[in-house]
Amino acid sequence: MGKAFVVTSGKGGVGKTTVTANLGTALSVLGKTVVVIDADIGLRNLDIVMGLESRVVYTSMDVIQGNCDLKKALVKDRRSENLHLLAASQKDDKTSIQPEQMRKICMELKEEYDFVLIDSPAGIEQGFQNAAAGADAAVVVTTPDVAAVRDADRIIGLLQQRDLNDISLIINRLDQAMVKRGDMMDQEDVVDILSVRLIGVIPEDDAVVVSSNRGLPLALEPNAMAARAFKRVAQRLLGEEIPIPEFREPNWFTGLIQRLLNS
Amino acid sequence: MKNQQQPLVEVKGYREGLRIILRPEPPFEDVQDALVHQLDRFGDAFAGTGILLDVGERSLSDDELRRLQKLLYRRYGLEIRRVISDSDRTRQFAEILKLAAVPTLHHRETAIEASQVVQTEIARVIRQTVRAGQVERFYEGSIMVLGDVNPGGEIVASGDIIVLGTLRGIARAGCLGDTSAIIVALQLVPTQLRIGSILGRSPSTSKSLRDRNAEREKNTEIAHVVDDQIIIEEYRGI
Repeated sequence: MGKAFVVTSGKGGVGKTTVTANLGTALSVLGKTVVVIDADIGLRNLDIVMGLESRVVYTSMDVIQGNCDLKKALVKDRRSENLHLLAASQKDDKTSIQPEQMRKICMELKEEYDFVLIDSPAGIEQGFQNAAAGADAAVVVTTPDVAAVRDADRIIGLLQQRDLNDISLIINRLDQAMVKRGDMMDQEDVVDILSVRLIGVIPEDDAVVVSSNRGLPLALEPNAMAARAFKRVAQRLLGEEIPIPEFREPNWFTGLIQRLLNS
Repeated sequence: MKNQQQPLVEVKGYREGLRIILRPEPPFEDVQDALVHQLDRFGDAFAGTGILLDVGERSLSDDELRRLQKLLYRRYGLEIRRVISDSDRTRQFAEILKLAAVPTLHHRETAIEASQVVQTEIARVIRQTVRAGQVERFYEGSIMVLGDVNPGGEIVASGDIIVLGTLRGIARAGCLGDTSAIIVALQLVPTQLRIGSILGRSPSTSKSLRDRNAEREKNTEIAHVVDDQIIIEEYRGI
């Protein structure tokens, strides 16, 4: 029996979809079977970020309405054998789905897959409620700024109200140089407020934007800083104890290695 | 002078919300004005709270009752949960408006039982961090939080507020007008404090993140009212 995670944040634009795509990819690279579900009905993005837009035939809406069975609606990833996507309908909206129906889909998927990652829409309304309905655990994504942390805090409160207490935190887009200047909250500031388990800090990395636009999740490129961070998040989700590194300005030696790796 | 000894209207906290007591003798209009005067002081602090309307021996017409209901709801967001009245007519009107109604005698019996059991001061203990968007209220005494109160979280108590953690959100102690109430937190860095009707705000000049780090090192602090102002100082026992 697998485990379902809702990837959520409250605030929009902090990287839920990117995290879902990359975490799913990283888990599949580690040999796990994974389904990622786009729960942002009406504003689907996950298929684009994963480069699967042209292969989507059926959506979760078709499954619910009985137009096709669940297996048939799953789209296989281009590069990874054991990663699948369940796309969201573009022409419906959040109210056209019921939490009970989402729960049923998740239950069915958990029978066959190790991980089900549900990409939640922004906000705290029905879209979020639907996304959280079938989840056993939550991955809360935030960026290190005051507004995003505030919304993450609200979401954590709402998850706990639903008795969803297995909550992990990912801090996305941390800019080490800004933290160093005192212009950005560091990971300690964020964890201090949210007081949930931190499972990853993803550095600000242009490569993430490039890979999302190309529809090739970064997690398969071993040299990008963010890719390695996603791999470590996946390993932590699998129960490995890996300390969270403090990102440091590279000194001449690590800087040299970095340049050699990137060239 | 007589008014001061016997206010036309009394507002008290009780377990589920507020108890509003109307004196039976004075004319309705006076009582209503006094009620508005009292509640205006609280602003919107109680929106969403349930009301126990205690009219005692006063006989209210159905129009008067309806006016009170509308006033409380529209102006303050307060909802009447129960009417205590010794007048059969008033209770009948209340029931027509779908409000539960009981005579004073009946209500007092349960009140006495409760007070016999609880001799000491009552406090509500919250055993988790109060997060953004959460409001925790208690109108019968103090609130103690075993956790933090995060920015966007709010604590409202008729008594003291004690936070065994960091208070970053909003705290309103002595919310029924008690300016002797105190607010204590291991780290006191609130967005806003209120004791009685006195307001204190954190300096709104934006601090750099470095300063906030310095605040982590602070000792336990207490906020209390001195000369109509909220003073924050290191806590050294009361």
